[in-house]
Amino acid sequence: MMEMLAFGLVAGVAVGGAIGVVAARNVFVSALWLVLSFIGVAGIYAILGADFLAATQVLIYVGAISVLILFAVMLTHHVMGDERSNNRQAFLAFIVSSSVVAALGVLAYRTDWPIRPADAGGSVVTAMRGDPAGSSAASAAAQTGASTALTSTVDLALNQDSNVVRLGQALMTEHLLSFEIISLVLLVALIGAIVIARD
Amino acid sequence: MLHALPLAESLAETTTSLSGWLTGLFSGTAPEPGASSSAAGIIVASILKATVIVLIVQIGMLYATWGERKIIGRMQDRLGPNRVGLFGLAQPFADMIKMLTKEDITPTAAHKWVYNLGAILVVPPAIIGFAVVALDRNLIAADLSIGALFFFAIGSTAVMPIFMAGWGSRNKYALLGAMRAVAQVVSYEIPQVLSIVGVLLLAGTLSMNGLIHSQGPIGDAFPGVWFILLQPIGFVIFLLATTAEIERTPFDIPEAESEIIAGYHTEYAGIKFGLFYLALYFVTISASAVGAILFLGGWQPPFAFLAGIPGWIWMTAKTLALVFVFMWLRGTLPRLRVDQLMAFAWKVLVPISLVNLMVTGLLAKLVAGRAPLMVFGAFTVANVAMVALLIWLVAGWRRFNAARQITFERPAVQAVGAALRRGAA
Repeated sequence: MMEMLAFGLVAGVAVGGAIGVVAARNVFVSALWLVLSFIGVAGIYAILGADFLAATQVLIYVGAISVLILFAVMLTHHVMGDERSNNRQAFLAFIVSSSVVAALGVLAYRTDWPIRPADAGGSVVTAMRGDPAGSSAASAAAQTGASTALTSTVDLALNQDSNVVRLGQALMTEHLLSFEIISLVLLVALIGAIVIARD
Repeated sequence: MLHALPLAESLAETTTSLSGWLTGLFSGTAPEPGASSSAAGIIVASILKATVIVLIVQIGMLYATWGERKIIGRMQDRLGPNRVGLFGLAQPFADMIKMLTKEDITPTAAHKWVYNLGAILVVPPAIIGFAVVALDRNLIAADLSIGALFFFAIGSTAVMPIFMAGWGSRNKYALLGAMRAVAQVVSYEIPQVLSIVGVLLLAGTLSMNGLIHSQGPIGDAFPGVWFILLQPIGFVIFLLATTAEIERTPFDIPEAESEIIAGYHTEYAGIKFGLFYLALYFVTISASAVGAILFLGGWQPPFAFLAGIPGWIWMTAKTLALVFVFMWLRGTLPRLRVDQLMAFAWKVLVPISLVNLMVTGLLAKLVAGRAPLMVFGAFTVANVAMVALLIWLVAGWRRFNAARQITFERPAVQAVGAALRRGAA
């Protein structure tokens, strides 16, 4: 009961925030709605037992990425103005986004999600599978581009209370190559930013 | 804020068992996974915990404002508030009534929702972090396995309401202040988090109680001392980065009133301004509490024979000591310039904390399993060496800089500059 209630709440926040992003007239307000959606996604991670992932989602997406988005909005737009953002491609955007939602929904439905038997966290996942709202939440999570890459950590999180340890071990053994490649990409981006700033 | 006070009085009637009641509330009724506690029970327990936290923090905040005015006053050879009540002790309440009775203004040009929400949302990030602060062994609302990360993740969301306040006001000074504030907070988050990673590495846990257990005389101590002795550089960086993170002097550039009026809260009046003020003191207290937990052993006594004194007294004393340090800094140092501030974060604090982290990781691996005294000695030697290296680097940089400035800016004294540079080389 509690789990369903909590899930409904955070899924509502995530989806409501996502709707706010597209419905808002001002692009700055859209960015603020996006922050709400990020927080809802963090709540979904927390319900799934991936508490480290939830905290990281807040730290990175709310604390850093949204800030970058807001800075970019402020630098490219009439900051003080109240004019509407340009929305002439609404139909095209609807087609693209609905096909992405359909593809992700099919994927989420077809995937064989690992379920732990007789486990406090496992029951949440079982409850989620039967729930039609689950797929909409999955698509909301997919909007952040994080959920598909991190599905393997969810079953790690369900194992033990200290999923930080398991996450670290997985990153340093199984996924070491991808971890290092991502660090390299970030380093290149950092150097590129410094070079551009110096010119 | 006002109607919370009668509840505090009803709590005071049970003074003798207050500590016991709190402990029971925070540990006994805490929902164990799998326990037969009902949904309603969990919700009631959570609301009670939240109420207790808000009350404690609120009272702490009221008297932190009083304490700050008194301490800064004495430092500047003034008396501070002394008219309302004994020693001015009722001054916070007078201030509160003043704030509440002021006119509530919303500028005509402002974006109403964003403007008002910015003031409201500035408080939650400041207060949620207290959920993982351990006041005593069992006096913790939620001993999360990721406690320290939770605290800093919640703290990082504090930039959002600042952005909303600055943009929603539709005032160029407010916007400038918000841009400065966000750039500053995001920059100083990096050294702040890097400085505590050394501690997390030594403790091997992110849980607040676990962190306290791994230092000090009680518990499964690593070498049995507070982490400030093993991580003094980390502690200093944490203190500096936190001062910038919570925008206190000398890093209160977002609110520099001589340059941009009052920064992002220029357009706020009355209790809406009061909320910004409230949040400032909340984060000062919570950052001090987390500093006390991470570096000063939390509720642990300094020596084992002092274990008779309750843990919450130690924790409170350590937190207040750090709050005093923040006030002391404000009374002592002038404000930095914007470019100096950013350069200090990226060119000084980040490299130092990276070196500190590297050395800590290496030493922790090398001395693992050795005698406590040897571990302590190794860390002391490493820390002294790092500080000496830092002083040598700073001295060299200053000499080089002085020589360069003389040479480039005044051709007439080029010869002197060249001589100085030869000396430096």
